[in-house]
Amino acid sequence: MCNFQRFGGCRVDAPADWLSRARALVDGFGAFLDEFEELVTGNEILMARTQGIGVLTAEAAVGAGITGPMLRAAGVAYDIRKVDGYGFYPRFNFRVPLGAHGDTYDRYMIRVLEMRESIALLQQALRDIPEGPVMDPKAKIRGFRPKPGEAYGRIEGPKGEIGFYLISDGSPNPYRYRVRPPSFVNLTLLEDLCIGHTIADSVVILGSIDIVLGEVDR
Amino acid sequence: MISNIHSPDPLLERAPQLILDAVTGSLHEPWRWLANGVISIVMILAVFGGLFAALTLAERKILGRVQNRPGPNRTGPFGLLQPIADGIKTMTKEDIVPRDADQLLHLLAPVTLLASAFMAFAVIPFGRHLVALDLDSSVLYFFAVGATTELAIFMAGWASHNKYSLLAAMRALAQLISYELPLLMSWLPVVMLSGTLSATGIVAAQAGWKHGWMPSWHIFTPWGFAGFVVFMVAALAESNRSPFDLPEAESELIAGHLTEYSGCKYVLFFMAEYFGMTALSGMAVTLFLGGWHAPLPALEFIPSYAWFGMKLVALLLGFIWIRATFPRMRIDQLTRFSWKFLVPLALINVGTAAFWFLSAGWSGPMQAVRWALAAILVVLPFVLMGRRLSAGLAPRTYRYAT
Repeated sequence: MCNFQRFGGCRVDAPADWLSRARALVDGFGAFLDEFEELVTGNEILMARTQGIGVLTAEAAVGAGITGPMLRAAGVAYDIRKVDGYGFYPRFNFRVPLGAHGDTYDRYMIRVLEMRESIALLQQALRDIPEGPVMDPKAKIRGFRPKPGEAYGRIEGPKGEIGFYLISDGSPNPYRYRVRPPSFVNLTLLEDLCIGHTIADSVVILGSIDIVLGEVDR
Repeated sequence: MISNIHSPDPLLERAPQLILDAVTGSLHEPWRWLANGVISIVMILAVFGGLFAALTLAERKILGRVQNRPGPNRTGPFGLLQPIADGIKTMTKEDIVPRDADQLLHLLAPVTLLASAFMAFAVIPFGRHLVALDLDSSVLYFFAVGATTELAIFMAGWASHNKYSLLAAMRALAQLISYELPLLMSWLPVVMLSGTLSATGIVAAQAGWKHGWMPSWHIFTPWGFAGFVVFMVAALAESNRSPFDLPEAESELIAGHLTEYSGCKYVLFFMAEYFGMTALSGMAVTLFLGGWHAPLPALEFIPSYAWFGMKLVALLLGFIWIRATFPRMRIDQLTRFSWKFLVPLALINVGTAAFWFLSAGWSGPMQAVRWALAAILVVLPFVLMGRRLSAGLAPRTYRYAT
């Protein structure tokens, strides 16, 4: 996916049967999620391992700059797709689930509920996808010179706010380029979440933060 | 031959005995006894060694399918040669012993563990006449040998001269001792009701049919069912299987008391775990599932050892199924589950069995009263204590941002 999107569009068009295969996947995913939840969500061992473990309060989450499902599990209604309304999100109907306890179980359940919202989003997107060229013919890929100045763009990623800060001096290469990685910021509270719990819980809490090592290692 | 097939001992049923007689029949008495013993040991090693290999493959295949991936499929057709490849790989690995480790104990620990796991097989009746050692107190022997596991695990932790190994061994001991108690008390009712400690005697007590078709296995009584469930849960914990696999919690500890073991010795531990699991399943079949008896009168023509094997494999697949679907418990929840739930349940079950024994003479409508009372004695403590155990835990409902 990394080299698929370009300034001005996408590199190539999707394969002929891609849309029908994507529709089949999206339509079948709800049933898979039902099966998954039946197995996991009501499991007593899972509830005993996660409920009341690693409680994150709304104040602590906001104070540490936590974003994404972790923040919403703490009960803060903050989803950049709603706040900024970027891209096509204002056109689509989706809800933002909120946790009440901020513990590991809430972080798990918020992700499951968001998967269900994502299915709805994908169905709307596949319904509305227009015909047409995938690339703006006037877009310049090479020799693209942004005006001097700075810019910050952010999107709601699966882990939280992914931000890109860019300073241009007018040349084809950026003067300064910085990524705001959501799981790196979310991980900063690991110690506070683990205090008072056992070693075995720290593994569960780390899992519920859902880090990507490539983002964290910096 | 066809007319003979429903007789008590058809040819297939007697086949192992006939073969044994043909091989050792010409020998004189002390030598014949010795030869019979050696052949039994070799057969147990071969059959359960093969079962171990098949089980490792089945486990990886089933876990793979449950997790929506194919599992091992590169070695041979459907990955059938995977156990051999695994064996070659682990046998040729370097055996690393830490410099400060107690060299002798470090070697003895896996050997002790595996030997005790094997010794347990000696008293399990695999078929009508198939038992290597028919002791009068074979059930007692079985669980005494099984308790050696604790010794070997602590030996491994101590001999490694590694503080993490030692701590993990203590954790493992805490778990094994906690679950030894419900394990032992869960089969107490069986001994009370059948009046014998001999495994063959317990199997014989489960012979015959109620109403002409219903097998009179112990699991089909209220106390037997409760005992079976407690036994299987405790057996899961005793053989360090998920969801009680804390001694070797893969994602939390790095192999626990096995940290300093590698190559061949590690495989010995691994084998001992599977043999222990198989032996406990075999004992569960013997104690509660009617041993080698057929489940229906019409199915008696299938030889007894085949029935034993089928029940054994069914229980082992249950172990794998549980591993695939349950998350792991935490150590405090694990001990709490044993002491506050399983032990009282097993204790009450002993009382239920006593009631069942005393009410054996009740007949007519009192028979229904007997069943109802016993069922209440089993279900009520389960529900009440289960509610206390999971107090404060419930699925939640979530609100959505407006």
